[in-house]
Amino acid sequence: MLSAMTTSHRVSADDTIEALLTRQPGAARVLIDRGMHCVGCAIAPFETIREACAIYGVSVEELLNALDRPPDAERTATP
Amino acid sequence: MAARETSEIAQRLAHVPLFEGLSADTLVRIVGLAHAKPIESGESFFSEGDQAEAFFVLTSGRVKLTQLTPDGHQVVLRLIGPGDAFGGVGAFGDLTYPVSAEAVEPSVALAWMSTTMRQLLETEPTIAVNAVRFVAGRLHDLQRRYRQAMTERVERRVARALLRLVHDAGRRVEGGVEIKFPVSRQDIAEMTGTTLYTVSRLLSAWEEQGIVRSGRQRIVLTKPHALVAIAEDLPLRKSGS
Repeated sequence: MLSAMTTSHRVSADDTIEALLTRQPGAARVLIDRGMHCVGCAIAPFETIREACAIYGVSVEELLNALDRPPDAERTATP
Repeated sequence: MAARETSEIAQRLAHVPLFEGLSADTLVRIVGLAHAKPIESGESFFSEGDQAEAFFVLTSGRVKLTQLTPDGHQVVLRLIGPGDAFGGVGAFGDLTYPVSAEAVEPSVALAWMSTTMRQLLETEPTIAVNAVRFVAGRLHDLQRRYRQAMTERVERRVARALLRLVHDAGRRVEGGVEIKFPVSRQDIAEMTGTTLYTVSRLLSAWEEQGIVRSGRQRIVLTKPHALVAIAEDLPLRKSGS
């Protein structure tokens, strides 16, 4: 198991997806942008961010960095 | 049409399912009842939804049969080459073409009007037998595909039921996510409007694929995302699942 000795992030890779989405509503956009179907997924309460990244082939570090960024107020969803 | 050309074409017609088993003379006569229709690349012999008034056999060129999907995409169903028949519903009229037939290079097809075909049926019963055989084959095919679609729907229903149970009453355990309270196959059958047999069959199949592990009334999702992919009909991603 990789030690968490990197820059500290807003959320931990071991938090569940559900916890992430509850605490940080803007996270849904970040996940969708990476093709992750976590929003509304039945498994969200049980799955960690790290595990979800493994399923979808997304880099944990990249995702955590993206989640650190404040939601862009001017950004509109792609049609 | 020159006699030699006619008999060459007639020979080709022998391979068209509708004309199977007909004598060489009959085939020559049948060629005579058709009219040759040449079109340029990009033009169509007919479009999806048109009244089906003619039946075609391609004699030269290449044609693609396309259909518009519910979400607006044009999909190519089949490529037609010389000697192939198309527009079969036009052999007997009463229906519309289910596909469009567009030439991808300059093409010529022999066309028989459905009125001609109907007259032909009366003098050549073999054609009627061939038509019945062809339709029976298609029906058989359709039934198989329908059964498959129905099976997929049931599979998705059961997968969704398990996921709902897990979401509302699940917990992480060693190796996966478990439904916290005892749930029998009969319970699942009742929840999904299917039979005990179907649920057992599905659970066994999933167990074999390592997706679930089930004991007496105890169900663990060992590959929960595989079940999500089934339930939501998603393309399976990398095998992290």
